[in-house]
Amino acid sequence: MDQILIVGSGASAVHFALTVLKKGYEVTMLDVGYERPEVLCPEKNIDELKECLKDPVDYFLGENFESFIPPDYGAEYYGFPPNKNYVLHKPRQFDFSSSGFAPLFSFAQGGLAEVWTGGVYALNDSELDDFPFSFKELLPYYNEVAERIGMNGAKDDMLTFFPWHENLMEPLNPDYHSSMLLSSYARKKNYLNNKFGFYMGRSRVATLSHDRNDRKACTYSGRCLWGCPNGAFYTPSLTLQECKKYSAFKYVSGMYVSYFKYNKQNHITSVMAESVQDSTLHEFPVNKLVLAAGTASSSKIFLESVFRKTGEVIKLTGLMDNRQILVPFLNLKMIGKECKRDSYQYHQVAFGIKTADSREHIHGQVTTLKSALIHPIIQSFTLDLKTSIFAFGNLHSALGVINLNFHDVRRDENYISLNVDRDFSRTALLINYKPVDGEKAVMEGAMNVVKKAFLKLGCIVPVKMAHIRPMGASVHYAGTIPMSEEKTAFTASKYCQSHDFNNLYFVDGTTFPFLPAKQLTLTMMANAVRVAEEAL
Amino acid sequence: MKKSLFITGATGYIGTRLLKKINLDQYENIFCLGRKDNDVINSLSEYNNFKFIKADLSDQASYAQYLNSSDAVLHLAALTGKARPEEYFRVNSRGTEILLEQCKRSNIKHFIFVSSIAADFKDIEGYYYAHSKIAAEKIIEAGGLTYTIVRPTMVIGENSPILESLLKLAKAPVVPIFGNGRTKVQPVYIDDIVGCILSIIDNSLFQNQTLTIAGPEQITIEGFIRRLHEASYRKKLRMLHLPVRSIAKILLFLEKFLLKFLPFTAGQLASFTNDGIADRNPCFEGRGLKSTSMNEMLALAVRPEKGAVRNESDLMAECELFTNYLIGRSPDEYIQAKYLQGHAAANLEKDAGLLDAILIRTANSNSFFLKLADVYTSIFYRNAVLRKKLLLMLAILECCKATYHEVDKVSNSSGIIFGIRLFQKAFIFLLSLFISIIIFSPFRLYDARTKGPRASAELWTKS
Repeated sequence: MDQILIVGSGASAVHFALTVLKKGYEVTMLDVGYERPEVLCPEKNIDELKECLKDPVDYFLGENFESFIPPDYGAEYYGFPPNKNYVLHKPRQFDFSSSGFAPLFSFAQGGLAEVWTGGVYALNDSELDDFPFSFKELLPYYNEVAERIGMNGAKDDMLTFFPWHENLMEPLNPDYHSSMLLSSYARKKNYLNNKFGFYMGRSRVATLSHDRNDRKACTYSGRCLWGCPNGAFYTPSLTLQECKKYSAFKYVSGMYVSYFKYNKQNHITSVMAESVQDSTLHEFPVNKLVLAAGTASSSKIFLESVFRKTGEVIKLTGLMDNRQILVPFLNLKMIGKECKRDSYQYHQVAFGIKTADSREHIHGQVTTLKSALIHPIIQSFTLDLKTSIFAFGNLHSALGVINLNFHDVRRDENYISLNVDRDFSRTALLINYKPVDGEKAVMEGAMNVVKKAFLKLGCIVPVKMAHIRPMGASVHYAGTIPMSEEKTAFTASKYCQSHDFNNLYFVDGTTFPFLPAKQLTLTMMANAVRVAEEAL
Repeated sequence: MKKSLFITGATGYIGTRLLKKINLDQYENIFCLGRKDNDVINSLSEYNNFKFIKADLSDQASYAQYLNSSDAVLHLAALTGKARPEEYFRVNSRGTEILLEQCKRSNIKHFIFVSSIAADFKDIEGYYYAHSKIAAEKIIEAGGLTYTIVRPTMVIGENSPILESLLKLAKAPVVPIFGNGRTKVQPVYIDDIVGCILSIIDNSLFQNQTLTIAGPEQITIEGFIRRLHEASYRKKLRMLHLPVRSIAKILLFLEKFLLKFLPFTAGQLASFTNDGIADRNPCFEGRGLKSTSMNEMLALAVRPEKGAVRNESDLMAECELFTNYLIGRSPDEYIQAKYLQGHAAANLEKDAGLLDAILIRTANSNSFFLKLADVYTSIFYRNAVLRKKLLLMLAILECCKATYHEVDKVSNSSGIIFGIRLFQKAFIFLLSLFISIIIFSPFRLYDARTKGPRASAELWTKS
């Protein structure tokens, strides 16, 4: 049987690999593959962890206090803890520049979804309108991925936005604040639905709510942010471990893939990778090549390959990403309540706002504040720090963050290309992004609805404190080589097979022709399984 | 064979340091003459070969027997600082003469006299200390004993008298420089002096010679004061050159009546008019003795002021104060160690300006002033270094098992009590804000003004 070479080990790469391994293919996976550090005191909850660790400050703030956030911290704050820094570590071979876009890249085992918050939302038919397949065609693969990763959700008002599929476990126990929000919504839903097109329900998350196979259910340890200690929360490195059990699977780490070589018939013959350790160049023969390094990195490999062969620097247009806005809120009914740190930390509540065009619905997730570091929040109060501590203690359980997501479409002005040195010796990824005209009005409209709807739920939403995240921050990149019925340059078939190179497949977000206001990871994984099942 | 050593002035600055460094095992006996003991003397007194004789130089009878059993004498005793001319001569010249006479009777083999670079100054009008030292040197040279005269230049070390005086100058709002400031100095580190002296005694070096002991680098007096200012306090340096000769003349006149009340004497200004340097530095040549660089000696000897880059004990005290202020309890050793580490890692004081320094200094006084500075920075200067320090403290406290409960807790009080507490906190906040504006705003305006229009604008936009 054919050999398959996969580049990358992220969410779509591992599910593609697992599917083809099951079908009997021989698979080689090339990856830089930085590894997750050991989980410390896995049995302890967040408070016990502070007592168990020898050096808790080192664990929570980092060896060089990199997670200490001073008031003049200029960069976008992601809240990644020090033990997840490995996810964003870059090999020296990789370089990039960008305009209007603040990208994140991962070269870790499991990729960027090692630091995700686990939102898993299937796309409905209107959102799949630009895709060459329907929800029905994708459904078996949603079911398959749900079975593999273990996810939960509820049949509630969010069905309007999130189509149902199989293998969803019952939802996790909500924290008190989240259940307060949901019960407030239940009382006011008619008004909210009719007045604002605002719907609320349980978010769907890739976390086990009960034991399954060799994975244990969520223990509500409150350690989600620092990495789930028992593997109840899904990350792709779990599937990578499963792949490694197959004898036909060869995982080659420490390799930074630069480009592929191809012949006159546009058939790829080999992949060139540099050793991250000593920069030596290695050639890997190719039968079928699957790029799954993430839209930006897969595009870079494609661009560099063409440049090496022809000297031509091309632009891959249509880059998409979800605009996100983070809005803090204060639930008045929760003031003065005890904050329970040992609970599930990520979002448990989702909401949707209907728009005239159903493809453009706005989605949001609500994260109530529990065990995250508090000094970055305390300093935002306009009070001296001593009084701020007093105030925060009484407001902690009442605070939360709304994460609003907006859809994106492919536009020519947004592209990925290459920057090339004068002597053509080095190339760097170049990303250019310009938001669509009228974006501001759409965001303001959505914020206005959120403000009013949450007020109805008993929450104050200080819109002025909203943080519009830079493009690139949501890390839902897609669309540079879209699936297209037409066989044009820089597009791919329904089966994500390149129209430019006949033995090349893209199974990450690269081929998405449209980006709804949802986490795209579940659909990427399902699509990767679809391609593996149907195209090979 | 081991020598027996007799030391005068053992409780003075050089003597104390020398006794701390000396290896008693290398000597048969060490006899120390002094008018009062100190901790170092007391700690050495338990050794059998160490003897402290509490007496004055003029009281030969009380120490003659010990001189009889000594091989070498190190004569450090001297009157320094502010004194009347006759006192200088009584102690420094006549005292030396008395000692020397007794030494002759006791057949001392080597008499080492620590004089001063001032004995080499050209212009010593009214500088009676220098005169008395010159007189003593002459007595020794003519005395007939084998001698070595050592002239240290400016002796720098922790709390050395000259360093203390210069630091007082260097930290003044406007630093007075007497004369043109181009007079040269060549400061020497205390331990290097001690090393040289011990080497001279142990190896019977430089017999019947007078030698200067200086540090490795020469610098103008103005340059040195500038360095002291940088090392101690990061405020902008303002200097004012004053006519040294006129001031010396005025002082000389006033000394006759008001010596007690003068901050310094005419003679002490001699360092601003006479080069205190050594063309050759023979003690360090080819002997492998350490000669500490100026950077090193300043780092060792100058304790930075609060608000500048500070040492560990200051930061420990700061950590103690901050922890008590924020959560009402003391930090443990782990928290203190982490505060030091975080302070260094975040390099918190690197951008500290004048206002930052004042806020930090004031805040470090006590929790009342800390509260004022905390309130002030929360409204007017949110990127203040002080605020960063407090936040670092908070970040550490929220991670530690002993303290995380304290930084994140609900007030378990009933509605009315809670309401009263809320009102009380609001009242204290507003009152503190009012007081802090009165205290800190002038500095803020001054800081903004001296930084020029651009910096001023930046400062205002910070809040």
